[in-house]
Amino acid sequence: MFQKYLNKDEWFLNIRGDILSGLVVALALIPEAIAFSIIAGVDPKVGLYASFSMAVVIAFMGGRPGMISAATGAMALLMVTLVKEYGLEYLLAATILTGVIQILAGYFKLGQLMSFVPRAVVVGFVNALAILIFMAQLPELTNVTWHVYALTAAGLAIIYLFPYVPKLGTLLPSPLVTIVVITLVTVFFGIDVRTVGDMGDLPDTLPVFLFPDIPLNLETLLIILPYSVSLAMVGLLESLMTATIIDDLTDTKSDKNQECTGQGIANIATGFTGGMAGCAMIGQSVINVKSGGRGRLSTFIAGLFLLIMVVFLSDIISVIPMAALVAVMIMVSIGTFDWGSIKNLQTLPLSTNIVMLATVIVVVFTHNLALGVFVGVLLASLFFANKISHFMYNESSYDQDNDTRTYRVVGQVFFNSADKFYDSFDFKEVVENIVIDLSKAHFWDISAVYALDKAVIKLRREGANVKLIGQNEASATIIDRFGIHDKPEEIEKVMGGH
Amino acid sequence: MQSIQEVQKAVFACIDGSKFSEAVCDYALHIAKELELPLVLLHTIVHGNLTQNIDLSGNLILGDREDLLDTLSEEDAAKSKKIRLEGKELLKSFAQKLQKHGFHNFITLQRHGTLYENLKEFEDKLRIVLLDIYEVDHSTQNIIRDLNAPIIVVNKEYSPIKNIMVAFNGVGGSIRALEEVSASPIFAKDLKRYIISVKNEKQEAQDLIKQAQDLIKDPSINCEYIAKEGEALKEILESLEKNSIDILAIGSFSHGKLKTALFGSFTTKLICNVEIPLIILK
Repeated sequence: MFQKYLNKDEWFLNIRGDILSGLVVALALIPEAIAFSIIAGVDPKVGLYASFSMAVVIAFMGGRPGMISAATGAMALLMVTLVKEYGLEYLLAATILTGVIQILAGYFKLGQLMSFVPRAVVVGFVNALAILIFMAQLPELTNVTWHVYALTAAGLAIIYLFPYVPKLGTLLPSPLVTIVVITLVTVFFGIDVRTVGDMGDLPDTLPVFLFPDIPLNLETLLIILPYSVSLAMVGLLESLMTATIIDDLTDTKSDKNQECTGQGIANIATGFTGGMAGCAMIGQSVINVKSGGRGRLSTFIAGLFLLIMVVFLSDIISVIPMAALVAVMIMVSIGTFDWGSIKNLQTLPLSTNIVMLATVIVVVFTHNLALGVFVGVLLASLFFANKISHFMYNESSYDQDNDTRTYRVVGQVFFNSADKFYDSFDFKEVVENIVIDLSKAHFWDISAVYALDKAVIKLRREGANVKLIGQNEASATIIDRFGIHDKPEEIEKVMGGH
Repeated sequence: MQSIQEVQKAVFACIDGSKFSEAVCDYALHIAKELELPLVLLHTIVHGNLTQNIDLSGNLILGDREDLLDTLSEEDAAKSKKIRLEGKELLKSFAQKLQKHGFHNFITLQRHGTLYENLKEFEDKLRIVLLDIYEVDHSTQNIIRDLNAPIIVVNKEYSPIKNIMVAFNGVGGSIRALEEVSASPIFAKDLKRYIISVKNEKQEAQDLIKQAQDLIKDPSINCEYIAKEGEALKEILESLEKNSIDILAIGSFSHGKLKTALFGSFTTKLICNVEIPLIILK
């Protein structure tokens, strides 16, 4: 068991690359932790402790080496009302419960359910996330003096232009340069803008174990459970999607169920150290890969370095203007956005685009990524059912000698095509014998069986001799279990043509 | 030449172009002839996911993910191509060598992925696996640990096998080692066999030897039994030298994984110290 978590290959194969990338990533974690603590309505230290604890625990327990987990915007947005109505202690309890739910998800191997989430929904999720991260920066940019706009613009300019500086450009992380330069400028010129210190407490000690101060009763559970369920779902969705992105980038595999369990353990640890729930982050994980991070060490270093910086340099961190962090977060938002998906809008089928855009719209309006995914999956399933229902037709032929009408049903009969199937019979025709050949049909559910029964009964009422032939195995199983008309005498077990 | 799918059981020689690949091929040829089985020359293309493209600028631009994927894929493609061509050359030269020895019942095989993954995939086809000592590192340890087939670790140039020593400690792996060595056609019947047991007490060692004698039922086998007291590694190495042994047979890792992770296993120590090929049995 320990061997699994201390795999030397996953830890120490890329020491130099992992340490450097971990340092770079830590710098991109701080703005997100601070920015979204504020949005969740708690002190920045809650987000910063969470980022430390998530990163360090997931480094050991996660199923995807090199992926970065910390306090995230997606999760923070789900906590807002809980914090507002019940306070921080309930958030910590909800974080622990989130972890428990995620461990259960890992235990029951729910990671596999990701196969029900189509690509369009994943893209919609990612784009919605990018928009949410961007929108979360807007409060820092409204009702402020022009200085803030100037500083944010300057920050973005440094982030995107500094890498072009020869030599230094690819050695020094440009978010760090941005933060340092913007901070120095505001301090030097005495510009009066909001700083991190104005937003609440920063960590002043190492995190300590503490039990959330809440009454342990059913009432508490009922308060936090709905939040925990959403948090657990969104956390796992974002983590598993990020894992897939990292898998693709690095051409390696990851253990999705271990990732579920790992996220759970990390959230429990985070709740007990006074942090808010977190999950994997797409932007920062991509930065990690870009910076050469591959192993678990990179995640560990990111968390550790973040803690060292915020605890020992908290005086310096508190004078960083929010504008600098906004600039970094706008960059994370841009990097999270799936740019290819916009270019593909023209070439992809309309239904795919609708699924993607619906996911985005629902998320942007509800601030709940789980709802967006739910709507996206639902829509995608309906579109799929609709497409498949086109694969059904009923051809008929008439044999004058025996006064026999033969129907040959071809294709998929299920809830969505059942009415079409029923309507394809000519009930007005006066005929002695009717043969319904099902050998090329698939009967998927009781809607299909019911439609067949209804058709057979109606035809019999009209006085025709109805004979069913050639059910395939799938149809036969369903008919055998649910059908009320005569059992077919001949069952062709072999499906031709399908 | 047949395809790997048609092969029922075969001798697998893992070739990676390191120092003793040639010797691996030679030993494999010898054993495949003894067993009258096909020989599979296996070359694997491991996809390291490390990169030379390190960009510490820490920023992300629009479409960066797609660009990053392109960059990393191109880098991997170039690396894979190079290793693939090198492997092809290697397999070709070994194939020619086998043909020169008049051996034609072999196939050459190139696979993507780690050696462990690929051997695991063919596990039911493995009669015996031969590895170069330079292929044995911490990542291939699980080949030795949980691949269900005998493994020979080759650590020197080929020389004919004229005798064999079995290190016997009375438990799991080493009992099967004894059975395999006494009964299997991997080793010719007239081969001289040495059975060694090392314990802290002389008496215990002799008890083990007695157990070993009971296990070897065939009286026609030419066996010599050695009971020693002292430190196992040191005594075994001394006996190997004294009797100029050609190959050493041992049972596989028998400790718990945690203990192995912390203290290193006896098998690992032997692999590192022994100067003759080692056959590890499960």
